[in-house]
Amino acid sequence: MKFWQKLFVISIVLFIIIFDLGIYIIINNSYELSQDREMESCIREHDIIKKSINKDIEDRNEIVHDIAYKSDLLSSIIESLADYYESQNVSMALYSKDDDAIFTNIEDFDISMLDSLDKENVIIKKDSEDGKRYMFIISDINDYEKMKYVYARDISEIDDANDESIRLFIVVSVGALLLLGITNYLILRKLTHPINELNKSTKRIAAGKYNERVEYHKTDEFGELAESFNKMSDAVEEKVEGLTEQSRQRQMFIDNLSHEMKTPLTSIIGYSEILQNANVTEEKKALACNYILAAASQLSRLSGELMKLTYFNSCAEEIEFDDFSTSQIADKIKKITSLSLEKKGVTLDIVNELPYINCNMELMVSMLVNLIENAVHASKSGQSIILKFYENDDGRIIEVSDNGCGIEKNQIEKVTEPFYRVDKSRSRANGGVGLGLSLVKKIAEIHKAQFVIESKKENGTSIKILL
Amino acid sequence: MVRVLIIEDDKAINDLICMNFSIVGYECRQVYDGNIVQSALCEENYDIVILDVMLPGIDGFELMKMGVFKDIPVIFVTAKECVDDRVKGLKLGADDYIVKPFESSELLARTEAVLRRTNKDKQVYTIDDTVIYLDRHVITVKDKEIELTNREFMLLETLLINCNIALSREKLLNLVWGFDYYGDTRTLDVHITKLRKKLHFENRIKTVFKLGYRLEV
Repeated sequence: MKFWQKLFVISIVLFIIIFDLGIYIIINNSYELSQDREMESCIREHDIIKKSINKDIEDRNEIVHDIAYKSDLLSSIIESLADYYESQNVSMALYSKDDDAIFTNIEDFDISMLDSLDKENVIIKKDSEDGKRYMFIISDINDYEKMKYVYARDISEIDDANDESIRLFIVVSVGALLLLGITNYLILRKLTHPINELNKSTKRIAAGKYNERVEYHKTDEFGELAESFNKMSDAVEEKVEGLTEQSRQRQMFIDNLSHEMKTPLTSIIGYSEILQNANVTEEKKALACNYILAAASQLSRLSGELMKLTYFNSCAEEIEFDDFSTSQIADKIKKITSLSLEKKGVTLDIVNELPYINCNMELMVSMLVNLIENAVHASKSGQSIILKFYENDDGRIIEVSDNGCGIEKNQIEKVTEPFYRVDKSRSRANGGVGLGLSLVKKIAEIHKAQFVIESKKENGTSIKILL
Repeated sequence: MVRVLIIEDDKAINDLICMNFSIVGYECRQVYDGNIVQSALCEENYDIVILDVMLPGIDGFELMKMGVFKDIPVIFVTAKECVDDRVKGLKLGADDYIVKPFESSELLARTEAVLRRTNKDKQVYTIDDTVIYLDRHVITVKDKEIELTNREFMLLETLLINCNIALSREKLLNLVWGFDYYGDTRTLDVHITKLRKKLHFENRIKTVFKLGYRLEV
């Protein structure tokens, strides 16, 4: 059962119980009251009639001994009264000591009721056979030979009025119930509308539409819920995008890695086959051997670089840092790069304005050597590369700059992606595996340093490590 | 003479493909950059193109989209092996798709198949006094027709396509008898002996020690 349906049923049931019970009590109460009033007026009327009978009898003031005559006399007294009151729904009767009727115009009077008379007036309500209700008052006219006077009033009117009230009550109650039902339904649907909206949005988000938001901008609880919900959606969307991007990058890494491995593997397999099966010249055999060797060493380098990258990814916390003098670092770098610098005819200038830096010596050297090797590949013979240690407002900076071929603007972002090569064939010819700048970036991350590439095509590249 | 245009940026692979084709007697033109494909196509006519996907300049898919090869059959050679890429390559009009790393026999067989489909392969081989008409299944020695069984003919065809390349007994059984053949390699030796005798190929079909056979041309 839905929330609004529950509310609907509860309110309707509560309404029925409270409203109907209340009205019922009121009707019942007023019925009792009017019955009491009727009774009082009956008693009053009865007293008046009785007095009037007594007075009439006193007026005649004669003792009649002839019973028949006396009966006639009494009968005539009471008859005139009975005639008068008949129009007011009152009937009456007079019974002798022996319960013989002297006069009566009461229909279906149960004589046994006379026995219940003791001393006081007796009031009896009784339903007659024709469905009418009567109120009987039976009293003694004691002075006159214990005659019994019966006053009977038809009180069906009160019942009729009561029935009428009950009918009206039912009509009103049903009407009110309908009205309440309709308005209640409309209000509840309106109030629970935001819940439905939230529900729909949740379902859409669950189905993968992570950019879905709830449009509900009121300040009530639902508004707050919608706002919190939207915040949660933002967080989910961000997370999902992050994960998607991460998995995309990972997939790309694997694709690229498999591509990187397949090329040398193809060489190895292909040339081995030629050596094994084909009837080729010694010259070609030598060429094939060279290619196999080159491919194998390419694979070996690739695996080495991959190991480093994996190591940095998993053991970044275990790497130890210390203060190392920059001149010491510069000397090491000079030694390592001297061969390739000489080969290409490029010079390395070192500008050292920092006494020491906090780093891991081996990683720092490997990073800078990597950057300088890149610079060497980008430079032409006769150009120079500058390695600079200095400090400015941004903090301590290590900068490697060259005047070489530079990088296209749209490629700057991509160069740190694994296996991305600005110039694929040249990079391979130089023996690169396409992981150099990825490693540099990783090492910079380990040193919590920023890694900034500035480059202009044909004007050279400057790479800054902001420690 | 079949003329092949090899477009592959990796020199080692390019040379490898070229070497394989040269051994079976195709003539190759090697191109290393997507940008110079069009000029290479203008200079000469080619019977088949071997195309790498990842190329500097214009990549392989792009070249296919541009339609620079017109009706020359194209075989993609690439390390991208996911199905989407294969479908993409084939949809763009490539005739076949070879994934690195590949074996030379696969490359040659596929090239041969594509050439046969497009009717550009060599249908007539002449070796000494023997003339082989592949399309008609007819072989003549000194203008006299020679009867060959179906198996013998298939074996000869396989050796011809891979001429100058040694094929192991297992490979020959695979190629001629099919992958599900578990028979004795002696069957192969018997067929080779018969071929040598019928076609006077005693000096042409060489036994490669501990390996298999090679048809030298």
